[in-house]
Amino acid sequence: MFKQLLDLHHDQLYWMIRKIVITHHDAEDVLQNTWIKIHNGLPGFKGNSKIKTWMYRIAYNECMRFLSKKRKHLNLDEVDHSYLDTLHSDVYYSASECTEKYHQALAKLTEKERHIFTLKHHQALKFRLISNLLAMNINSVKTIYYKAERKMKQELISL
Amino acid sequence: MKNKHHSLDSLGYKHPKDFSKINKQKLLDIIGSQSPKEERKIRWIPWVAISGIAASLVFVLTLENNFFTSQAQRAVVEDSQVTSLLIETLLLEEEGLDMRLQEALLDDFENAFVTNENF
Repeated sequence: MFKQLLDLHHDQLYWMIRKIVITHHDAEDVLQNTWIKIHNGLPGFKGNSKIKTWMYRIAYNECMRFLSKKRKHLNLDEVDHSYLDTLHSDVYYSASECTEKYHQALAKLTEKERHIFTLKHHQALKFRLISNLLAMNINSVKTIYYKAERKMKQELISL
Repeated sequence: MKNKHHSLDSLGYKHPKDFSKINKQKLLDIIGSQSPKEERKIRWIPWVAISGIAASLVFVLTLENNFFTSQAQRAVVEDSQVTSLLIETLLLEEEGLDMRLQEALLDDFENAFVTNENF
């Protein structure tokens, strides 16, 4: 069972974590903790939610735990000013000029907006799943997403 | 500088070559090395619990036995006290009866003596 889950969801979870914690090494650490927690929690999984939702929730919580440890003051409603620096410090990042501009636009979003936008736009997660991960009302998630999308368009036009 | 390999992701994010395969194996190794300890721990848990329950039962039963024994002893002590009290009462009553009989006999004798009935 565990091996099947690992084969099926390893890469999806890695990319989700990577886009939140940014660097490959941090993502690897968070991914490891996530899979250990999934393995340990699997016998007690009651099936109240879909296993995918449960696994993504563990992964997102691990990301939040990691970010809280890394930053003394983590506020998801604020812009992460270190976003681009963290991105450029990663040896496993190399982007074209166009992609770099895209990241500059992403850097203007608040942390919560960026998470929701990334989870929806790049990970193609459903709004319901995102609302479960962030423990938020689905309508609030939709509102934040569309606001972030609007901001991104404006930023990309101005760049 | 580490060897970079372009992934399918479009945001400029890359990861080492064969990261997925290597990391999956690494995770399985980490989890595999944890499992025996966990199993051992899990195997010990029921025994510890059973021993604890058994010890508690023995303790409770010992306490209860002492309680019943002390109650029985107390009952015996109480019984002997009651018996001795009854005996004492009876003896006293006997003494009283003797006294009354003697007094009655003495009264009869005195009356007979005064009236010179038998003398």
